[in-house]
Amino acid sequence: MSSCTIDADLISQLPDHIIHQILSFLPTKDVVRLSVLSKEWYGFFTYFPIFDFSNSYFGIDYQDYFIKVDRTLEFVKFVYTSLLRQSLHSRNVPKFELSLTRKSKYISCTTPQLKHKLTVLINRCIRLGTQYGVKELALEFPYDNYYYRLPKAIFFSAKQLVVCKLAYCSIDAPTINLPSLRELSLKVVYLCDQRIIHNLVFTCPFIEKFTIAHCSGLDYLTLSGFTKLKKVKVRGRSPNKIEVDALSLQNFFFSVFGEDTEINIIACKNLEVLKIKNSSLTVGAIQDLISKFSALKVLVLDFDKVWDLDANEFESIKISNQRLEKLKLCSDTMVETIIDAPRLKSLKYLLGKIPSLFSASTASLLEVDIVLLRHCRLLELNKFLKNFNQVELVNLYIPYHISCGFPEIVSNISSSIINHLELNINLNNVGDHAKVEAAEEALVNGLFWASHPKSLLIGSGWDTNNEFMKFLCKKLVLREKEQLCCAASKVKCWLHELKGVNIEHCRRNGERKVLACDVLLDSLENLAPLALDEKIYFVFQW
Amino acid sequence: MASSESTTTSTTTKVLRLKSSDNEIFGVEEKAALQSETIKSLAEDGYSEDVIPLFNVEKKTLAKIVEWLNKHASGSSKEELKRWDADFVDVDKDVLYDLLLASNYLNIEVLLHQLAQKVADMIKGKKPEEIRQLFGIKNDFTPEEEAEIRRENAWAFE
Repeated sequence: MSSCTIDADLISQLPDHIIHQILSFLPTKDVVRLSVLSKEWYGFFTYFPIFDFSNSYFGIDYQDYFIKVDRTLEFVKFVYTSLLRQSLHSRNVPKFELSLTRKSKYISCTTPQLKHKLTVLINRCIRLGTQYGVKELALEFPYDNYYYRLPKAIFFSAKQLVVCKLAYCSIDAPTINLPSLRELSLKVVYLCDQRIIHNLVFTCPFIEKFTIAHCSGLDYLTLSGFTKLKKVKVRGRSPNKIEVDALSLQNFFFSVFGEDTEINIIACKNLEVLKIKNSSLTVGAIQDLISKFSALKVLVLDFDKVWDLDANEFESIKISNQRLEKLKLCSDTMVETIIDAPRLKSLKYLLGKIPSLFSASTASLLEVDIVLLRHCRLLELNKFLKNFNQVELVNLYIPYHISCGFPEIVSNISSSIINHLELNINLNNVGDHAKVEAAEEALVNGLFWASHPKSLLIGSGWDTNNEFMKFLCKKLVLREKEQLCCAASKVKCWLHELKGVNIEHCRRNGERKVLACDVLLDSLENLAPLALDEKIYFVFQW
Repeated sequence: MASSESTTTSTTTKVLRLKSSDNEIFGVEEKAALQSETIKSLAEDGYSEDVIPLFNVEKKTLAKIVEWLNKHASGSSKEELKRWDADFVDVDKDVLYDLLLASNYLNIEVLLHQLAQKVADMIKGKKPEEIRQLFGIKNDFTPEEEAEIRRENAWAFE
């Protein structure tokens, strides 16, 4: 603190490479701002190589369109001068990232002259950014009902390019001649000449990762003859026919929802990870596909219809694969689920309905996550959870935004039952005090009686969570006093099936403090107990 | 007796002796000390049997560095280390400056990285005036010169 009064400028005396290391942790915008500190810092700035020109660092002011337009041009000018400076220092540019997407809305307000000027400048930047041995290239352009046309030269000059990610642009070259390329990603790209994809095997034979999303101009996609291809991702409406033939392929992601999409990937015999999302494939085609891959370890089937209204709905599915170890299944409509996978270790099931028919080979299962997407009856849920009686770890999540139809209450719960339960409770809709009490009684009894959770994590500070904890603590204190509440009946109430409970207060800094139940109850009743974002961790012994 | 003691320690855990520029000697276990590339190469050059002189590091700074080296060789969990490191770099600017120079001289990359990140965090999102004040940087631009630089890259200053 004493140094503040001395006012010695120590930081400016640090060696340049330390200053550069500090600058490397800052967003480009902050680096530019430092140029104004002093002449010394202007020097640091001019010698500091900048490669990341994603403009997400623009100040956001949605009021003034025209200023925003000016800024984009200015920003591109800055990119140009920075690159020019680096080329004067004859530095290599190993990575060049230019992203102008966030300005898309505003650019549409520009005059044609301005647009032209911008395009010319962008072209120059790309030329500068790609001529000095660039290895990683990421370009994302403003989309404004037209595609920015990439200069053809980059597909020939950047011989050392390893990673190439392009978005919102058009390519009119017939080939991409990049022999070192390992990763190619095309998002919202208009391919003027579809030979570009068909020629890939000759021009970029060592591609390992290929992504094509929402691209147009491609009728069919054939990837054949690649020896190193490991990951393929296809998204969007086109193409109509997809054929992948690569023994090296490990990972295939597919989310295409055009009509009559044909898919043929059977030749990829070593496929380990298959993800299918909202596709237009029939359930029969999907079942068939799954059963054919004998090396498949991970399968993700996502039929959640939130965004893609064209996707097929299924009511029943049979998943059969002898090697499968991990399965994630997401469906709003499924009522019959049969899983025949004797090696399955982990199941994640996001469901809108509790399936009326469920059968799974659970012997090898180690972990199950159930995520409820919609209301369900506690009784149905319990019945469903019984399928996983043998499984060591079962987590149940009831996402916060869902009003859950547990008996008599409307509650927002984020929870995981049986082994671990996390709760956020919202009883605001319940109304008067007596009803709240009844609702809490029902929730506590319902959850505890039904699931015997081993642990429970509750965030403190929220009224309803505090109320819930208060109620729970009262019950737990009562348990010690009233030994006889269920003594007469054969079936014990959950309170007396409970053998013991430990409570810990977890502070934000990770510290944990053991709390006695009555102490917690006391602090909850005195109303100024626990800070927001702290957690109370209950561990139950049954 | 003293010699037998030193032989037993050398077979189990060897201790290197580091001497600060103001002649204070710190004993540090070899495993911890060798996280510094500079100490490593000095030790390989045959300094390991006697004292390794570190002419560019004062004792108050070396004490902090030794603390860091020991902690990072103690096998603490990742989370624990993260918390500890956050506290470690939370120091006055002049201490931070000394630590930066020392970790640079001693070539301890991980520590240098942490300290540079700390300085970057102090700068991030601040206005130039605030940064000047924070570090006592004297503005030697004329108002016209400064305005010109700001105008050039106005997108970064709005």
